[in-house]
This record gives sequence, structure tokens and C-alpha cells, in this order.
Amino acid sequence: MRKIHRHHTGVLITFLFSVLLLGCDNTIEPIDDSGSEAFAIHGYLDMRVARQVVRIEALRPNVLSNPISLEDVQVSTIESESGLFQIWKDSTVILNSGEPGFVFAANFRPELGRTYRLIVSRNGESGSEAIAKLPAKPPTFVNPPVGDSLNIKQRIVLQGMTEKPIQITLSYVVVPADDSGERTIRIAYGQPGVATSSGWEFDVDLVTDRIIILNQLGLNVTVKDVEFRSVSFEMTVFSDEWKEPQKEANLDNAHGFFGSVGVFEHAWFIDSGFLNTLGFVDGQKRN
Amino acid sequence: MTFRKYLVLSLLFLVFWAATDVAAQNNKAPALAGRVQDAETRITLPGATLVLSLDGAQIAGEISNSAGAYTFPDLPPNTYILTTSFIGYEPRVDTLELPRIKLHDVLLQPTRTFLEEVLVETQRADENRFVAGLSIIKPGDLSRVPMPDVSYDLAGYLVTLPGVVSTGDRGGQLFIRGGTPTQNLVLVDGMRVFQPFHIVGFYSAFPADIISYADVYAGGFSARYGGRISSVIDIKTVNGNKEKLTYSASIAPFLSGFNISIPVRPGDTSLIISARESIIDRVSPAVLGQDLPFRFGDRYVKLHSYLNQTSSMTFTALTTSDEGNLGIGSSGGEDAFRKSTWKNKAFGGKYTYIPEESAVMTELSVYYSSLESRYRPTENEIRTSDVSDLNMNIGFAYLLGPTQIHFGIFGNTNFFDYKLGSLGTEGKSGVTSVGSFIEGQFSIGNVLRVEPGIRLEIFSRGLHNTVGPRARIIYLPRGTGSHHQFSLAGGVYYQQIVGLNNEQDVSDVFTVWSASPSNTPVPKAVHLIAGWKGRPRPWLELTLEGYRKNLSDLSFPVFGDAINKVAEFSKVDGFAQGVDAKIEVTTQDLFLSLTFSHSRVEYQRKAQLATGVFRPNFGSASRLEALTFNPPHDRREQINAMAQYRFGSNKASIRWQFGSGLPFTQVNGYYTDLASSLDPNNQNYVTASGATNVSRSQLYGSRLPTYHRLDITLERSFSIKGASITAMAGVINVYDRNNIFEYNVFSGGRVDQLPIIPSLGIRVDVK
Repeated sequence: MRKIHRHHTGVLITFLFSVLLLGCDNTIEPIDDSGSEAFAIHGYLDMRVARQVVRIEALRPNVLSNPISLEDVQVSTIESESGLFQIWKDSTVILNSGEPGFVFAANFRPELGRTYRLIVSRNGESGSEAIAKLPAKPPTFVNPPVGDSLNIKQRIVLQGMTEKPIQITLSYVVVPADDSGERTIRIAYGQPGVATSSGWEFDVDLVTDRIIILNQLGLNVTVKDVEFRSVSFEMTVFSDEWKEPQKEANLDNAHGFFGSVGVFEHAWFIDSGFLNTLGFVDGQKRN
Repeated sequence: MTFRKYLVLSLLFLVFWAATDVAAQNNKAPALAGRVQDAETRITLPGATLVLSLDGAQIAGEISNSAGAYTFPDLPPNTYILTTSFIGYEPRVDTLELPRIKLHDVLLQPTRTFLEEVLVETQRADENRFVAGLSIIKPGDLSRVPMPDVSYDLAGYLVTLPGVVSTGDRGGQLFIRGGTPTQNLVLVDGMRVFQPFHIVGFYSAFPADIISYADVYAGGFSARYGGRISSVIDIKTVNGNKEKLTYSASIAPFLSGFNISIPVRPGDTSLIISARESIIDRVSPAVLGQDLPFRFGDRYVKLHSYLNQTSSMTFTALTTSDEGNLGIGSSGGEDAFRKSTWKNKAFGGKYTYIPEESAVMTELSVYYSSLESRYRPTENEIRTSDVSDLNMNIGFAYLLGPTQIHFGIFGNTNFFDYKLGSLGTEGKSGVTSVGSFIEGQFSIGNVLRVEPGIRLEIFSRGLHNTVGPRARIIYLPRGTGSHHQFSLAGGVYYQQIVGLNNEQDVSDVFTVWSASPSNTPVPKAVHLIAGWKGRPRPWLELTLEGYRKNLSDLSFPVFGDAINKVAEFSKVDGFAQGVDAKIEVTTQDLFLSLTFSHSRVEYQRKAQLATGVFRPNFGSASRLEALTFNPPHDRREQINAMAQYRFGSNKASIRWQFGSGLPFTQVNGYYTDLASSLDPNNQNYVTASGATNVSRSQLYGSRLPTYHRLDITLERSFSIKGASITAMAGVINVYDRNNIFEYNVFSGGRVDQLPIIPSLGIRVDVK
């Protein structure tokens, strides 16, 4: 009986001691610093430019704290297909708020369909990673022109493409009859077309484009001796990350956004008969 | 300077104390004597029963002699309750302050009606029996809790109950056995009160003066209650004195107030008016040296009238107001604009009728209550949420001795109106429910009591028809005198309207009330409670209860990257389970109480698409992974130790609270959100500014530090010219524990709960 009593007393003392011990701890650890340092990454790889830029921010311990220095931070990319490794150069910019911001830049032009892994680390320790896969050129089909001389259109189908492109630009190479030489006329189409079960479809308005071309050349629309050398379109497209910018699915231990912008071209031939109907002289070079 | 002020005040108080002590010494062990008479004819009444109680315990009993006289010898100075009853007369209860009152003649009114007797029988049948999940709180209990004033309050006592978790001494949020504040049903004389606790957590909207008793069901409540799935706090208020004018007033830094009871039509109709107002925001900078920017108050009116021998009418009205910045701490500054305000309004009436020839009591009641909430999360944004409740009940009670059957039909309509600022959501809607309940109390021998019930309710939203069976069983192995009592309670509960708030941020108490989404099941809970109460000695009481609540279809916020912003909700299931233990020692001079709770609350979220706030998302909804987590009120261990000692006219009270740390979500850090600046056609994002986003770690994966606090008070009662005066001195948070309230994301500093606060108060009662 006495033994049991002693046992209970011991349990009680241990419990009270534990309570006191636990109760003395009054610190809070609001920041979880158990893992690798995380960074905020904002930027995208852009095929249209030869200099790539990302803005990097180290996570701050509270809302009002000053930006954390990135002095020891290294940003690099590895191109998965070739293994090409590139270190980005850091620089400081003044943000609109007047505070300093940190950007990293590298001189290269990403390529269609390639995958780039962006690595942000401090002092060589593991940090944040982001993967950007440049869009690949979708299979492209050009339907025969349809319509009469007042309204001839040609439908382009980009198979499997579901998102609206950033920009479509038509390029026509023509030679005026005055022998002034080859001229390239670029016509911005904006973001035409619709998503269908086949992909993205848009129409090339050949009649309207001819009027624009002649206008650019300073010729009257009745002129029918301009030689038509070639036609192509250039399409600027988003990578998948732009569909849900907040999703951060391609970021590892990081926040923000890292996507890409791809550009591809497609050229085709227009049937001579339709060119004649339009009022061009067929000068396309078929191999 | 501040401390010196307190020192001077304390010295003055001690001198005052000592002076009054001399007077008290001269009044040792007086006797109470008097006669019992017919109030109308003044004929003496031999054979009347007189029972003297102290703090709810009967301490002596007398029968008036042949001359109608009675005597209680050798009573220490104190406040006693004398209950006098005699056949053919209405029982009478007097509060007597000894030694001020030594001679007291009791005037009994001849019975003109048995209405009040029946009411007492039906309402207080629970008082002496143990029911799992139920705590009966009497006014005397409230005065055992050290408070920073002399008016006492229900909220201060509630947090001493095992299984009741509060966010601390600010915010006014109570979690009862795993249930959130919006799952608690709070009734005052049948009126629903949406936000019944003040912004300073010591106080409810109900001062002790107006409370007759409160039934607190931590779960397993009966079929007469509905609309909430966790708990019920059912407060019955006193009727005013119908014989004479009585009043009281108290002054203390936290809360000052008055209470007056007027016999409007003597013998028949009484009016109670009570009002309280805080002054802590005005005195705290000078007295405490820091801002406590909280302002709150409540006003209460009750008119009670016996219309004739068989019917009575009650009109009750209650308003409350609260205002303050819960996020401000010692750091102050950056989020000083954050402000929470809320106002309750409730009023209604009840008509009670008991035909003399029948044992059926009929009650008809109509109540309206509303809550207006405002929250300013940022300097330029304000969120509003209004909710109102119109409730009608017709109840019948068949009183057949120990057997009772209660039947009722009810209808309830809620209206909602909310505008959520930057969240871009606003709306107005209404829901209705109608239904009925029946519950009975049956005794099998004198050892078993069974209380089955069922509640049928039709909701205009969500799962349309619900059936809520309820049951309680009480087992007394040796009959009514048994030292041990066992009880089981359980039931199925539904809640059509839901209160949604940002459970990430405790300083954001803003709650938006809305209907549960259409065509989806409404929140549901299944309770099971088993308990034992033992009284091995007359002065020792032990209670042990185990419980489990299965919860389903609860709405829980989805926390995105934006700070303090909830745009989506998920459906979660879960459970709350635990064990509560209580030891109480009650003697004439000493009261000791020790409670211990061990509990666990867990929510499970299935993989799902998040829903928008109050309506389906337009566009893409967040895809949520399956997750199991402990919500922010999952306090695992809680201890409450309380003692009160009476010596002479003095009363010393002490309380120590301990609670293990509550879950919170750690952050990885904060960063600039540039999503709106990202454009494939320019590089504006390189120099753009943006809102600040938060990177969160595992949801509720960490724990706050433990909470503990010691409060002490010393009271002294004395009389001056017919007035009973109580003076109080006390200290809240005696050892100045820095209990955390929240982490300030802006400054990186912590916002602590109240520091050490000395307090003085004085109360005057004239009866």
C-alpha cells in the first residue's frame, strides 16, 4: 500500500515538474527554417530576346523587414537536352517602390521544345529550383484557299494547341514591278482564331492582306503585276505555366512564376490560280 | 509613475480594509431570528419550513414554532439565502447579509396560483442529478472566480470548466469540447445570442446579477435544443423583486455597471434594468502604462408579470456592443487600423399558461436577435456581416410527477447580409427551418432514469429533412441517496447555418454567417458522452467524463498565399474526443476545485475542389489534396485550479489556469506577389511593386507556447446604513506571464495577452 502511495506521489511530482518545465517555455518559432532556403522567382524565358532576366527575392522573416541580400546567391540554368550549364549575372535595380530589387540575367536565346532548369542557391547549398519547358511547334496544317476574288481566305490549323497565342504576324515577301527589289511586308494579326477539337484555327485573309501590301508599297489596288515570292506566319505562344500562374507546379521550394515564351514560324505555298485571282504574279520558288 | 499610483491606491485600500475589519470583529457569530407571517393578514404561521443556504449548499434547516418564530444560532458573517415555504403560500427566497441583518420576519404570500411552483419544478428538475455533459451554473459559482471587478460574470466561470478552451483574455471566443464558437448555441431566456462574449474574454453579455442559473451542455443535449452541433449554454435570468426596490452598482477599471429591480405593480410585475460599460480603454494608458484599446458594454431589460393565477408574461431585451483592435500589442503601430466591432440585439416575449385543473404547461414565445459585425483588415477595406434570427416556439410540458413529457413545435428564419470587401463577395439571403421535438423523462424504479427524445427539422437549404434522435440515461446504483451516479448522453445534431471565419488568424474574430451551401449535406455531429460522479464524502465530489463527437461536412477555410484573406473553403470531417476530470472540495469556509482535460480534435479533408465563399467558384477552383490536421483549437491538456477561502467578512480567491499550446501554422517567409505584373509583352515585373504574399509551412504543424496564468482577489463585505458594500482588490496574471495571443506578421513581433493587471473595485447593494 505504501509502495503504491509512493508510486502515485512520484507520478504526481513528475507530472507537476513536467507542467512547470513545459510552462516555462515561452518562445514561439513563427518561421520554419528546418528546410532549405526558399526564394521567390519571377520571370520567364523568352525566345524573342537574346537576354533572359529573372527577378529573385529571398523570403523575408516578416512583412515589413527589408529585402534580404542576395550577395552569396548564385542563379544558373541547365539545358536538359544538351546539359549546357550557364551562370546568370546578378544586378541590382531600383523598384518602383524605391527599394532595391535583385535581378539576374543571362545572354542566350532559348530554343523551341527545350527544357531549362533554373537553380537558385546560396553558398552552394540547395535552394530553389524552377523548370521551364519552351513550347514545341505544333503540327501545322494549311487548308486550300477558299472564296472568290473579293473574299479569299485560307484556314490554318495548329493541331493540339488549346490556348490563345500571344501574337500572330503574317510575313509576305513581294517584288514590285518597278524592279525596286524584294520587300517584306509584316502584318500583325493579333490573337485571331478559336480553339476547336482539332486545335487552334485561324484564317488568313488574303484579299485584305493584298490591299495592305499594295498600300505599303504605295500602289493602287488595281495593280496586278506585283510578284508574290512567299508567305509565312510567326506565332508567339505561352508555355503551360501561363495557364495557371498561381499554381507553382513547376517550382520546387520556391514561390512566384517561371514560364517561357516560344516563337515559331511556318511558311507555305499558295496555289498559282488563287494568286492570279488575287492579282499577284506567282514568284514562289518551289524546290 | 504608474506603479506608484497603484502603490498609493493599494495602501489606501489596505487602510480602508483594516478600518472595516475592526467593525467586522465586533459582529462575530450573530444569530438570525424572526417570525413567519401571512403577508396579507400578518397572522403568524407555525410549521413553516426555513432552509438556510450558503453558496448553493444547504447548511441549516428550521421549522417555525407555535408562535411562528425561528432562530438560526451562531452564524458567521456572510451572505445567506433563506428559503421559506409553507403549504398554501408561495415560497419565498431572501438574501440576507449577516451581521447586518439579525432580525428578519418572513412575509409569505398566500398561494393565488401554482404557476410559479410548477415553473420551478419543471425548470430545476435537473439540479440535483448528474447528467453527462451538463454543468449547472448557479450565481454563487460565479463569485468563486477571481475577476478584475466585483460584478462577476459567466464567461469567467465557463473557462474554468473542463473541456472549454478560450483564445485567451481577448477575442471572446469559446471552444467547447472540440466545437467552434459558431457551433455553440447560446440562449438567454430562450433568445439566441450570436456573439455572447465580449471582446475582453473575462466577460460575457450577461452579468451575474441577472442570472438565475445556466445549463451548460458540452454535448449530448436534449431534443428541445437545435440549430447548433456542438454545445448549448442555456441561461435563465432572474425575475425582478416584486415587493420592493433593490439596486446595486459597481465600479472597477474593466467594467462598471448598475442593476436595478423595480416592483412596477407590487406583487405582480417587476422590471429589471441592468447596464455595464467598460472604461479600460480610457484608464489603461494612465494606470497600466499601455493601451488596451477595447470598449464594450451591455444593456439588459426584463419585465415579468403574473397576469392572473394561471398565466404570466415576460418581455426581455438585450443589447451588447464591442469594439477594439485585437491585433495590437506592445509593438502597436503598423496594424493600428485593424478594428473589430460587433453589436448584438435581442428581444422577445414569452407567455406561459397553466390551467389549474391540468398538469399541462403551455408556453408561447417569439424572439428576434441580430448581430452586426464589422472588420477593418486594412486601412482602406471594411468587411461587414449582418445576421438576424426570428424564432417562434410553442411548447407543452406534461408534468406527471417524476415523469415529464415535453413537446414543442418551432419555426426559425435567418437573414444574412454580407459584403466582404476585397474578397469581392457580397450577398443577401435567407433560410427557414420548421420542426418539432418530443422528449420525455421516465424513471424505472429509483435507480434508472431514461430521457429519450427526437427532433425533426426541415431545412430550406442543404439536406432538407433531418431526424435527430437524442437520449440520456442516468443510473443511481443505490437509488436517490446513491454516492455514485453514472450517466450516458448522446444524439445526432444538425446545423443549417454556418459561421465562417479566418481560423488562421486568431485576432480576426470576424465571422460571416451564411446558409450552408444548397444541395449538400449540412454540418452534422454525433455525440456520445459517458460520465461518473462520486461523492465519497459530503465535502468531496469527483466527476469523470469521456466523450467523442464525430463531425462531418464542416466548412474550413483554404489559406492561399495572400495574408489574412480567405477566398475559398473546403469540406472537412473530423472528430473531437477526450476525458475531463474534476475534483471539488466544499466546506463552509473553503472551496477547492481542480479540473483536468485531455482531448484531441482532428479534421480530415478529402481531395476536392475548393468552393468559393458562399457560392461556387467561377473559373478555376483550387484543387486540394487530401489532408489530416489538428485545427487551431486542439488544446491537448488543460488544467484549472481554483480555491476560495472565507474568513470573517473576507473572501480570498485564487485561480491558476494551464493550457498546452494551440496549433498554428509556421511560415517560411514573405515575398512580393508580382502575378499581376507578369506580361509576356513587357518586363515591367523587373521593377514592379506588389502585395506581400506569405509562404506557409505545414498546416497547423507547430504549437504555440503553453498558456498559464495566476489570478488572485481579496474581497471584503460590510454594511453601511442598509447598504451592503463589497470592496475588492486583485491582481490578474500575478507573475506577469507573457501568454501569446498572436504573432504579428507585419512587425515580426508577438502580441501577448494581458500583462499583470492590478485591479480595485467596489460594489454597493441596496436591498
